[in-house]
Amino acid sequence: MRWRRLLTLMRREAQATLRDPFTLAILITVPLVSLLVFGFVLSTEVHDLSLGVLDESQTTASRRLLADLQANGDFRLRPIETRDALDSAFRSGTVSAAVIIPPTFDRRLREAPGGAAAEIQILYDGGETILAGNAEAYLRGLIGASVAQITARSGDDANPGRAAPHGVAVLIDALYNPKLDGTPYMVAGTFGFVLTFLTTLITAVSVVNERLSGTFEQLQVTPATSMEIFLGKVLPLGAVFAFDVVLMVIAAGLVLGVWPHGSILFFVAVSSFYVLTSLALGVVISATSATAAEAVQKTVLSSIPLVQLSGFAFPIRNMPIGVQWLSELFPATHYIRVSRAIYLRGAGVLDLLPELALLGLFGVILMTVALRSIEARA
Amino acid sequence: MSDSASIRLRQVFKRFGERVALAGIDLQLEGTQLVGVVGPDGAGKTTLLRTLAGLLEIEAAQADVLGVDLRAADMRPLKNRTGYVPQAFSLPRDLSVLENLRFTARLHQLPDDVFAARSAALLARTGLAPFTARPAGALSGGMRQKLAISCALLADPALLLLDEPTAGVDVVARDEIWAMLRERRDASLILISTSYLEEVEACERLIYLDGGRIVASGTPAELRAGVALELYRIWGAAPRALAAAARALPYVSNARASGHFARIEVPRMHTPGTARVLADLRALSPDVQLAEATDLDMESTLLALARPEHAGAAPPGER
Amino acid sequence: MEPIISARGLTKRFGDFTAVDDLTIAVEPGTIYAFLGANGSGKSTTIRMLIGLLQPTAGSIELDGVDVIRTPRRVRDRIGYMGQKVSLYQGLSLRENVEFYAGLVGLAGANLERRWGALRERFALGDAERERSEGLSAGIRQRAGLALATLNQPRVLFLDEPTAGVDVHNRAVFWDLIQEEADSGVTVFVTTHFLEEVDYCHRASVIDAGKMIADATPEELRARYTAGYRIRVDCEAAALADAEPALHAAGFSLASASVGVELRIAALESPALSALAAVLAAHGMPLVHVAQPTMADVFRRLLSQAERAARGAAQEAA
Repeated sequence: MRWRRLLTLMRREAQATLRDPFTLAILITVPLVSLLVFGFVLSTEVHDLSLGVLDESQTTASRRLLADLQANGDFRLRPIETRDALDSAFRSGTVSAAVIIPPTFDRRLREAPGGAAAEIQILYDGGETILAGNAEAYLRGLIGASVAQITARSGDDANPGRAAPHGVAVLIDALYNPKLDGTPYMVAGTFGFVLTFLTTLITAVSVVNERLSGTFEQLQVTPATSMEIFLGKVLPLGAVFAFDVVLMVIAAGLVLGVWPHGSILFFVAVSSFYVLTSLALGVVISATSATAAEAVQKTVLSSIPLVQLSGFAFPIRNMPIGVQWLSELFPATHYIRVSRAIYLRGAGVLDLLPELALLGLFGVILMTVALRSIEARA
Repeated sequence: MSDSASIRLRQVFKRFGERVALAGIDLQLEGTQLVGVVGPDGAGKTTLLRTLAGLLEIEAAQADVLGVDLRAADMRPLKNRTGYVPQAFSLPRDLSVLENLRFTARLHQLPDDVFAARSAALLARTGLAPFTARPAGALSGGMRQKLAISCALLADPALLLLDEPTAGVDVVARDEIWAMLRERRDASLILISTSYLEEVEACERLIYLDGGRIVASGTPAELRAGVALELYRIWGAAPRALAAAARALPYVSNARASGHFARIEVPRMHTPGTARVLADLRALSPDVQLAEATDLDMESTLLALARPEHAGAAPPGER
Repeated sequence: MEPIISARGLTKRFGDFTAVDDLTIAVEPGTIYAFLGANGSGKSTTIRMLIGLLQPTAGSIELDGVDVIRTPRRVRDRIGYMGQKVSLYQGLSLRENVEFYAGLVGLAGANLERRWGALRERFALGDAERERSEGLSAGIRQRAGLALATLNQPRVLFLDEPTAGVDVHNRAVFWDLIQEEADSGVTVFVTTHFLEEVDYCHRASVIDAGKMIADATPEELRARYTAGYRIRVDCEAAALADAEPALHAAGFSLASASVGVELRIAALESPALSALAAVLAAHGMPLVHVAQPTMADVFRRLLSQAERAARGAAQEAA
């Protein structure tokens, strides 16, 4: 062991590391940013919840309750007119929780001591298990407190001196996932992660290797058009991944007992389109990478924020507004939303129209860019 | 759109960022022939060949290859009739010899009977017939290049572009490749870049590139004649010492030793005449056993074109 | 003199396949030795065995007194090696590469400055010193590779296709440098595909399908495998009549040509040259024109003979 030689070798390694921007990014930037992200951005508290409100009672009492909810809690109240509208709102993901105040609320509140207790029904999306655990307790406590205030006040107004009536019965139901099993949530999200990361990675590496080995240029000197070259690359891979999707659906169903609530065909169709989008992104990454290693690094680096910000593991609604907007720029975010909607809530085409349109737009944009990158002459 | 094998380039420029790879190429080639593209490293040979293959964006006053404008968006009329063999082997290595030929045929949409006839002929000609099932990656260097050339010839191209196709290939395989190219001479306009001096001699016409420009062009004989150098050889023991001694003569621009002789270059504008030079060379040392005035060879010609100041005169034929 | 590189019975088998078959190599110190062969002929395998990177299946190798098979690591101090692709680190300048490799051989500080200063001068690398290695042209790259290989002043240099991809001018410069090394006593073991470079070497051997098919000086190769030299002398045949016995004795045969006299000889070694020089001097110094058979001619004959022999052997075995 010669120390000087060891030093020389160590110095070489340090030089190489510090000069490679991607290695630097992975070694320094990612750990720091992750720490900050995990600390600030990702939380599992209940913030800014979109709370649907179906006030069938429409009385002073019910309105007061709602006012209190608004004041005390971290909610954005969304008035909803009918039960059907509420179902639709849940399925499309517009609301994740709702308060239903039945028509009998006011009457029962006033009659409270003798008759049936006044009821409030709270529904929430049981698919979002992270939300579920927290929201239930939170909501229950909040509504209980609000109700207590209301009854105390009404007691004062109507019958001064009369004993406060019993509280309000709060019925809480978890929609779509009564057992609050977290597996379907993660399964649906996993499709998103796998179909984004792996597809992009494989295409990026494959196309870069073709460019490096010269076979890509060899195709460019033949009569083959760029469209033919692009589709020739992307369709077979897309077919394999589509097959993968079917396999994963079956495996999740048979082994984990998780089947999509919605149409399997719809799910596979959307997933296949999304796969093409990711493959196109892979082609775009390869056009900007000089080596396969670089392509892998870029894919990995872009996948880390993907995991953190796409809603795969942590709810987007809890992130600061700026970050939420950033998250909306990932196609993966939208696919994961759609995937969860179909799996957990049985959403159909109509329910998901805006998200599907957005996915379509992303797909078209990425495929156009990918095609341009193949056409481009040096 | 004329069908003739022709290349018409006027003031063709190609920049890669800051670097100017082609700095105003003017080139006119009409009809089928075997043309060598030569020049020092970085002269732009590969860039020129890639440009002719339609792979690069260029700026030009005129750029017509086989009647197709290189600046057009659709290069397919050119690609249908061009065969390109790049420097590094770039066919899919996992495909076998026959599979590679078939893949190329399909990309060019050759009818099956045409493919069958042509591929049989090429396989026989290259000696690859016994290896049709071998993956391209498992072929030796010479065989790989023959396969690449076969694929380029499959579509009966009017233009054949080869970038150092014999680099690193042994002499027997090189001979075979050149025989194939010579046979093709009447059917295609062939442009080939090479650094083997023998091959440079074998071309009908030469284009000498340097710094992105065509510095000289003509037949090998014309190029040689255009270099104003006289070449001498002195034979004897210790040729390196003899070369060193020769360099001391005032009119000698270059002297180099190899094997049993030293080659001495004398610029024509400085020469005191053959007789005098031979006498001086003989007088250099008792070790000089033979002094000879010889015809300029390709090595000296190319060296002189690369370093005109050493030849003592500017090279001719600015094209 | 004792050969500085000596290999006997060198064999390497990979499973059923014999890559190198019973090779004998002897290289005299201070000479340039060309080792030639097609790709896949066993050339690279042989070199790797000689420098201690690969264990032979059989045979012995001695390099500058070191038993390469038993103590391969001891060889590294004595040799410089330049592989087919010059291994310069990307992202580092030429200078930084030099510092790195120098550090590995224990060369640093003032010693390094001195040594590199001299090399940089000789190899004309001054301008390229600060450039990143990926930006270097082929000629400079190869010279840099040679400079790195000679950093620790080894006694033996192994150069594997050092002029591949280099243009005519830079090849000439490169061979000047190799010859200078040989002049200063370094032994150079070199492979190349440019056959005319064999003439720069003192001896050449050729490997084909694992077997050595030639091992001789360039002149001996010419004598054995070509039709020989043709020397045209510009004078009347009659004028040289009296010189015929002397010429015959020196190995020349005479033939008349359309112009002057044509002399033929298998190889043009010093004695023959002297004899010819004497004859010419005695006859008024007529002009001569020497047509030397090229090394390419040598190889064509050599390889086709080898191929015929191999086919013959295969037919016998069948």
